[in-house]
Amino acid sequence: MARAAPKPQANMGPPVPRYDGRAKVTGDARYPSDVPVASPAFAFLVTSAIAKGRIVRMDLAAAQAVPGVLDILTAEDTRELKHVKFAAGGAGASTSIQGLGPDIDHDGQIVAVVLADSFEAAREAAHKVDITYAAEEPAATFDATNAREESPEEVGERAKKLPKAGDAAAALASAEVTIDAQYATPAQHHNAIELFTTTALWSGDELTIYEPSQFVFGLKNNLAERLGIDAEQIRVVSPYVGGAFGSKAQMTPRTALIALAARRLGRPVKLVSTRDQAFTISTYRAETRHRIRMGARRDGRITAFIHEGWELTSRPDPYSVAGVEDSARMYGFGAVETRVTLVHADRNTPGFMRSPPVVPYIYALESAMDELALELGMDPVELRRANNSMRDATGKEWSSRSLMECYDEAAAAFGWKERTARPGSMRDGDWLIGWGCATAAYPTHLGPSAVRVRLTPAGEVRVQVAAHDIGTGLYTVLAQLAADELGVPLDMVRVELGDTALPPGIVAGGSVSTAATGSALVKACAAIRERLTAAPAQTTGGPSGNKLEDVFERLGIGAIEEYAEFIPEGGKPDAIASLYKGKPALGGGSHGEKLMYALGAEFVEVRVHALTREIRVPRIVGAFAAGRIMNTRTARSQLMGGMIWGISSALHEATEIDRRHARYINDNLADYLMPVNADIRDVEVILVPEEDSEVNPIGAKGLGELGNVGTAAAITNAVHHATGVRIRELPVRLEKLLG
Amino acid sequence: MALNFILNGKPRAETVRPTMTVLDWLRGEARLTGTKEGCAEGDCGACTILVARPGHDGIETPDDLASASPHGSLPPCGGGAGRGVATNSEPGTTPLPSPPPQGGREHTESGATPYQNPKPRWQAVNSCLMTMGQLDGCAVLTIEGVAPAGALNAVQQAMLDADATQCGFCTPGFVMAITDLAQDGPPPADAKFDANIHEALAGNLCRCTGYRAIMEACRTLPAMPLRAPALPPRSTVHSTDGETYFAPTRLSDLLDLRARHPDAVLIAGGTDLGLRLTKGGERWPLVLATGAIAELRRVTDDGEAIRVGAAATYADALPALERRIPAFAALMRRLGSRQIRHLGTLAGNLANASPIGDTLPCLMALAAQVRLASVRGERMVAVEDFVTGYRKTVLAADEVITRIDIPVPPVEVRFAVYKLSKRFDQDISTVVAAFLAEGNRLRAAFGGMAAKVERARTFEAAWAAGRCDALSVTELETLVRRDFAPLSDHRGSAAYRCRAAAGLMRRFILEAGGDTAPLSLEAL
Repeated sequence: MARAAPKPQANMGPPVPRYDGRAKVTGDARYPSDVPVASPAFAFLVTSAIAKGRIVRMDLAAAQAVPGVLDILTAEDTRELKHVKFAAGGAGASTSIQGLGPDIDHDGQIVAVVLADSFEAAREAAHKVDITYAAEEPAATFDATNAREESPEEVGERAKKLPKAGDAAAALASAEVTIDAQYATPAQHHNAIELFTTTALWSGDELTIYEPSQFVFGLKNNLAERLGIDAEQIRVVSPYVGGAFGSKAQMTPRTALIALAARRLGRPVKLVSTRDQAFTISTYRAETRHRIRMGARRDGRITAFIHEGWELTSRPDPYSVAGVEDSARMYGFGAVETRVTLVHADRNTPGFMRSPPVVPYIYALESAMDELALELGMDPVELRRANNSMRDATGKEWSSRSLMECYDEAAAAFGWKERTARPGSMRDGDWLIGWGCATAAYPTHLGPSAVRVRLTPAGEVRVQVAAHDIGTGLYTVLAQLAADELGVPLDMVRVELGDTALPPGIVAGGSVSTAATGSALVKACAAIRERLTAAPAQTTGGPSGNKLEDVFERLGIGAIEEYAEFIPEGGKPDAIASLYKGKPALGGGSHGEKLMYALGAEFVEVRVHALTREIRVPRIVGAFAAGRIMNTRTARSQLMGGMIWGISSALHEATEIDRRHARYINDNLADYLMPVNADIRDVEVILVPEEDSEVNPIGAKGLGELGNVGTAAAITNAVHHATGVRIRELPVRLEKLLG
Repeated sequence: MALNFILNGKPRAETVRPTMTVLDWLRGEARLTGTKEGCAEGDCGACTILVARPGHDGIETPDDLASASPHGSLPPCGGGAGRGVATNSEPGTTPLPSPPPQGGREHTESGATPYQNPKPRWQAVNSCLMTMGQLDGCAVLTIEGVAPAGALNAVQQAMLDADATQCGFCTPGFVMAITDLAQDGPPPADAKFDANIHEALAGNLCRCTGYRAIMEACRTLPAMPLRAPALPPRSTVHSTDGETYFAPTRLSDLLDLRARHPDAVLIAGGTDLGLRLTKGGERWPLVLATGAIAELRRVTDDGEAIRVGAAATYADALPALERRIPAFAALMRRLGSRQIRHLGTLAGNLANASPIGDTLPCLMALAAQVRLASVRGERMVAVEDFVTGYRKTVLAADEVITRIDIPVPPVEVRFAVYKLSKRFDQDISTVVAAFLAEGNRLRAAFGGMAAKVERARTFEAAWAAGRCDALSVTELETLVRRDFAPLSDHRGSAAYRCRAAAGLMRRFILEAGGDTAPLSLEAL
């Protein structure tokens, strides 16, 4: 139990139990597809079997003949839907590819929706829709002959906004020690256990959508635009989300189709898409490539850092994560040059997936750091220490930076000093042992939020905000914060989230929810306290005590309700108005006056079997500093989950692509490997105390996206230490380790 | 004819399509949405429920039915009575099959030892892989039924205390899988403690991912014995919405039906076949289920061979294998997940004839025989002759598998199985190798190396000639390449498969010579 809830240290909140834990262990937590609706029709999606070309003919006769089929929507039936502009992050649609054909832009594009009285009938009929295609040869990924790499002008335009300092090329040319290495990361899919579901229910002109969402206000506004109706006619409800990791932040094409179908049929429509469809009807983490060149002095100081990235995206959408923004700031590099190039192929549009920019880019950076340490004959931790700096190469200062504290605590807990440096020098029988480490980092974003708080004389508190708890613990930390701020017991606080009938909250992305919503909550609670203290000390005949009910009686009111808005420093004054319109604005990270990041250090032991090369990770230790920790229990849970994501990213996960057909091969949970319980052994989380009053009013940096950054590099660094083989392309495959 | 079963302690009689999945029925008509859908193909475990079935839990005699616990609920945390009442029999229903002996091992007329689970027990299964037809005559427990409203059972309490939920979507499935584990008492605090839990939870994915917290919850479990409820009577045929589902209780009836309906879908556990419904969009007008035939559920050991009935699940076969061929049992514990092993059958795995079916190399190396039956008569076929190609067998249209006979290797014979996969549990194998060595005679069978499971004849010949001890892995690889030309796919390249197969040969040679301790991946 002690491990489930680390003891709070300085600037850490108590590990109160999860607010929604009970609802979750009993199955009472009602996810959007669990909501019962009266006599629903069931939808089943038909998706394209080719990646590029057009539909020549669609024969619906056999499908329509299946008993119970009500309607089949094809391209012609959906012409009334308006095109919504693509925008990463929730402000727009997840993709520009919104039509049901006849043009096909990626494999698995939705081309028809079958509606029937039963799920079974809809499914059977969907398999009977007979489509004839005129297929063209698609570009699947990097190196495909007809993939389109951006022009130098496009790349140059983007580079203007990317970090640059000094003359990196010259510094590299004159460096005492250099490395030049290329890395690659694969496509990955979020694969939350909850599928993509939508239930649409019209009541007159009013539409209610039950759909798991990381940004209900975004979904509401974008859907209104697509349907051509007033946003006020739509309510989106999503109190529980069965995992999201970025996949449920934006409006995907399915939602409007289901809303339209429900309007045509005049009855509620329910869609639960299938697991294989989840690979193509939403977003994913795109594959990336990197080239890193570094120059250093013999004492380890890095004088030149050049990081070039290539990212894959769809034909129409310029989706990019450009994590050079972060890699170039991680250490006190002498001179810096960065560039990012997009490659367009015939694929669905990628999108945010847990820690989008830093997962691939910090993997590349932290692998290169290990290679440099080896080249220098330095301990990898000491190389980081030698380049630890409160300023980046452009001169920008950090608001707080506890990186080396994290390294020192994690190294001590791990027993790093017992490591012998030579690869292959640590062995236990048939098992080759490798120890590796890497930095974890996530930019601290800032976002606006509104909130409404109500306090009754009995001390009951209700917190309402259309923010989202996607497993992160937001219900718990808001309840905790409200109880603290208003001085009531925790069990008197009720928190309502995930409903556009509530004041708008920020998108549950960028690890921003706690800071944004918490800051607004603190404001609302302060206003309530102010009104309580404004009560007259005495009224004739009234109670004079300090008990809450006495104070309320003197105020002559039955409850206090305060609505508050929080806009981060430097934010636009219309940030809340924009939020109501579904436009989130995230600042912070490397973009403000100061560099704001949550940081960590992860140490991993791998064991590689000498004969079969099977890889195991018996233990991993991570130490993290993220400003104020609201609840050590939920914090540990987030960070531990993150580190397991990191292990998965290094050893298991990759979406395999059939290069001839630009099609995903392993589109199910048996072939898309994520760890099972037995793959995960010891995972230790250390919380390092840190205070940072500059990031936001509550001083929290956010940590949902911190734990899985750098882990893959720590593992490949450890694999190198065990075997002498450097893996520069994820995930680690057994055959890559064969001698 | 309605399907009769007990749901969370209450008898239900439902007229639904027998090929509908239990998951869809629970979440739809029954409005029990605590059971979640995460993949609908048996990979994630979010839909895990507990099922008690006749023919396995030892409560088959009418006397047992009368005296068994009247409720199906688990004792809640901190005491409390169960709810609900089960009925015994209804007029007009088919009588239950004759009971197998109860309570451990007993001798039958032939002197064979049948293995029965001595205690009535619930079994975790994937409700997405089970059809409603299979539910007839069973009892079901869902997350809504494990504790009275407002209370928590011990597993739920432990999960809550250990903060073992994040998004919570996988949580009900984990609670059910752990409840299955906990019914035999708390996991023993021995060296196998973690391994037991890992095995029980191999079929449940947590993406958030809270595996450590879930392990911690398992460590604190108190004893939580469960009693299975009395089971309702079942019927031999169901017909709804143009689907007819036969569940005969006598083998002769099955053979008659098979002869009359060669096009019917023959289903045992359905863990693989069912995907043709859910993923293939098929509709099955005629289904023939083997699960209600008591003699096909039987697993016996007469000293020479373990004889596994065609409807016996992997879980049914495990105790006998554990005792007599532990290496085979160890492999089976890594086959699918516990939920899958509670439904899936050895016969089904064989009939599928997949090139990567995990059990086939073992059966082939052990020289197992398959017994086939039809109205025309019976025949025995060696496993290696039974499978003729990629998903092809010698099974005739009117034939069914009735039994698999697995010869028990004498003590002086060395038998070893290796499975290589990227993930520890619930992973499709890259290469599976099984070796049976008796003096200079070796049978070596490999999965994942060809379109079907094949023997490594060149290696066997080299062994017989006594040339193996001196061969290096590189030399062994040349032998491998004479017998196999595997494909490259995302589970492993051809080069890796050949190298790994040679590595496994070398390991077997070393182990057989006593030069190295057996490979144990748990030995970390």
